[in-house]
Amino acid sequence: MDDLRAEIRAAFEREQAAHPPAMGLRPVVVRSAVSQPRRQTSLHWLAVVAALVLGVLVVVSLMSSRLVNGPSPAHKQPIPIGGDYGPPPAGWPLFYVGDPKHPGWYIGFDWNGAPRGTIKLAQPVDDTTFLFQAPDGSGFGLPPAGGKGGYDGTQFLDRLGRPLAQTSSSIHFHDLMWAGDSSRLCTLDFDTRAWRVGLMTPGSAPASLHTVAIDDFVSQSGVIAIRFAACSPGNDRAVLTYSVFQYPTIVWVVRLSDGKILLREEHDRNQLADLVVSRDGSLIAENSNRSTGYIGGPSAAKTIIRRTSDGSVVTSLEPTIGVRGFSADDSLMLVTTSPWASGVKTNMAAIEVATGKVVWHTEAADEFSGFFTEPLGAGFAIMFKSIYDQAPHPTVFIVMVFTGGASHGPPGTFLHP
Amino acid sequence: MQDAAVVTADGAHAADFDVLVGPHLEAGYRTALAILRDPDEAHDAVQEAAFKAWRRIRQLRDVDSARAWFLAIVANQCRSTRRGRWWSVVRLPKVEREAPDIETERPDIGRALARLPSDDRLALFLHFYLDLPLEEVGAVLGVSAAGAKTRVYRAAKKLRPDLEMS
Repeated sequence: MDDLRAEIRAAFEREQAAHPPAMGLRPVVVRSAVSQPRRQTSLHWLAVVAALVLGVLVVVSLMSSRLVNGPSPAHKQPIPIGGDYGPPPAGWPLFYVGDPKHPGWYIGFDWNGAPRGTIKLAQPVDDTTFLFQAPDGSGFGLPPAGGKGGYDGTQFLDRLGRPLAQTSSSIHFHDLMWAGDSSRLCTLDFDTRAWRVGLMTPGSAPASLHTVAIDDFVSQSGVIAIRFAACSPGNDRAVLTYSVFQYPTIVWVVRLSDGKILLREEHDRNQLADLVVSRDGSLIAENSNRSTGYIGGPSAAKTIIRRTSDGSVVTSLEPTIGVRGFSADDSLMLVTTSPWASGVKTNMAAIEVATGKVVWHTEAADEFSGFFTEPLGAGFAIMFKSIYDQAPHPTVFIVMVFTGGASHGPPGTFLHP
Repeated sequence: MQDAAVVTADGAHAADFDVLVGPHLEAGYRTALAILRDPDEAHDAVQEAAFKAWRRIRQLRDVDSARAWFLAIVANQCRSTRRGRWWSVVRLPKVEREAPDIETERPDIGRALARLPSDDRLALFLHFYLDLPLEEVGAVLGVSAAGAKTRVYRAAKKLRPDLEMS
């Protein structure tokens, strides 16, 4: 019996660990409960009538939009969340979303979905820019407000949201991306009329710049659409992609330590919607144009996953499926199973890379708005927004998905960072 | 035993409610989660149970029984929630939520627990996870301590048919 007791306890502990109680459960529930009148007999009939009306509204609402297995914002508000959770703890991977009640505040959630800290910016992020976070939430980059979409004048913040001293640099960054180690950034510039990649510690000038032999037409065409898709100093690798409508799609796998191109692949124009690469740069997804609903012409017959080491195919997916990201351990991929487009409900799934097995899926009444990747595991924190909310920083709710398909999320709604 | 007058007087205060029920809210949430297996519904259930507890707080005569009293309200609320799940018949099948059992010698125990009727799960959860004595398990389930022991044993035997009662 003792053995069984221990096994049962362990099984319950696993279940419970996946869904911890909301932070502040006690004060919120007590405050809410005691705000209710204890004896309101004369209002009982009124309450019954109100309940019936509400019931009818709920039934109508369910019949119109909840006949699927999808989360919705209305389902995610049992306990209000927001406020000051104190300084974020050190050594704890977090992801940050905006506090809707306090402009400029960002709540850091751990990978159990519990709020662990709040950073407070001196000025709210305006509609022209965004807060870009290190993979483990230990640092931030904040392009200047009212900027032109570039990185000149980017302010870097430490774990607590405090500005770091800036080392003036004359380099005009074409692109920046947090490295997988969360302590550095990959840099891309064209200042010397040649493309250069480098590594930079936040607040410092970039070091070890190396020229990369990017095709001339990329800079001569006047269409500069070259971006980092991965930055992994640990693997000494960065992946650059060039993807723009009406031009060929190109991927370069680059060795960070000397700028040498290890692999170059080119796809005919208008075949692919985009390219998505795993954090360590080892897997690349070639998303068919049809994954974004494009039906106006030719497009790749499949969405294909390849190894960047040799270009070999790992697996292929239906062309309407688009890979949005890979888990940090490369075991799971997060995909959209319906065309991902603004103002359209998004169906999503998590699929095992090795087996193709769908471990989680949702047919949401809402639109995919972005996601975070668990730094050391196989988890995603997915943001969904209303299809009617097309603001630069929309209101979102969060669904967290893990290996095996376990899913949960913090209650409440937040702002896209 | 503490002074029960704080809850029997007409003017029950929020502070009294916090002292009596507050410490058991997390256990209430965990109990609701064990029954409903949905964190959103569990949060809703514990909130609704707290409303009911506040309205009925005069019924609580013995402060020492506050935990079992509140958990019984939570369990009843969860049963109501389950009965109200008429919409579940039109939901698409959910993917299994449990993490893979990679550390146990009996990898099927989590799934076997998941398949138990909710009252059986509740009995096991209260006794083996929350470590409630059988008297309190009985109070939550509305049976005697002996009845609770039988419930726990029967539920455990469904997981391990060769189990002997001790």
